[in-house]
Amino acid sequence: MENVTEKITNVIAEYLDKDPSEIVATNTFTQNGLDSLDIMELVMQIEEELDCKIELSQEINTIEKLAQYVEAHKGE
Amino acid sequence: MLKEKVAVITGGSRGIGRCIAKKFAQNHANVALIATKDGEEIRNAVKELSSLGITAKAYFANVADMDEMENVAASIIKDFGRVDVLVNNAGITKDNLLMSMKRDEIDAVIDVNLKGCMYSTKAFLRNFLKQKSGNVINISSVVGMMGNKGQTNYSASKAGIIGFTKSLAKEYGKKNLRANAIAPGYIETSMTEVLSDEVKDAIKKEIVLGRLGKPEDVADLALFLASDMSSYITGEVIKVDGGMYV
Repeated sequence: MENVTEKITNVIAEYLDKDPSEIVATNTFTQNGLDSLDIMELVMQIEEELDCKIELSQEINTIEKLAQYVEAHKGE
Repeated sequence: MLKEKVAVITGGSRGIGRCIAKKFAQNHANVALIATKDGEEIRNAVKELSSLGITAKAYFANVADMDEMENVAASIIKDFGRVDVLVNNAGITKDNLLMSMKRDEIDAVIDVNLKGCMYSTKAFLRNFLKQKSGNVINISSVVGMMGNKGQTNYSASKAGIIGFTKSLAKEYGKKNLRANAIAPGYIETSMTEVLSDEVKDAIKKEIVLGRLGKPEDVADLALFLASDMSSYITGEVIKVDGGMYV
């Protein structure tokens, strides 16, 4: 899980041109400086990076929750 | 003008769609045509395009079926590696007075013309976002702007396309996706071929230039919108109607 969170954080940090330490996994995507379109684009990148399919919903609004989702849907 | 670009055209086997495909191919784009079914028309279209020295291929799907469009989009992206321009051209008419219009005549026209345009765009959207560029050209109609008796279904679908185009442009402009609509007037195709001379003469009286348009007139604008010459144009609806609706 730590690993997935870290990977997602790294993707987002790179996208925002920030240091991973500046991204807070428990903050909402918006608080981390992403708008809805950014999130969509990032989800596509994360899907490729982690080889998974993500169906985004309103509830998945933090890196931590996204990591939990990815873990739960691994290999589907 | 379109060298190394890949264009997808729905309803590309005849009429305006086929003419756009040819214009794009003449300008060095590789072209994927989406038609409802296999047949002589689409085979001839592919043959003609291939003879221009580009890669052309036909795919078969019903634009009104979202799953079929998702599948066909995946096949095209797999075969061509990318898609730069999407022309949503597939369209049908089922003219009738609203009072006599059957449910099927309403549903079929909205399904193919409007929903088809949305399903098709949605199917290629992920590709455009991934590529960080995209260009959608929707074929609307001047009757979507001015209305037309006997065409409540068709004009509603074409007006819907205009709203869809503008929203699409706003939603994804930031992601370098452009979306524009072309609103043709009366163009000489099989769709207008069925009109009687009397009706055609009456139509010509309403057109400032006094004649029906040719598919090339629409294709020229499509080429401009597909090219980088229009790179600062998005969310626009451009009429090709000889001044019919001024």
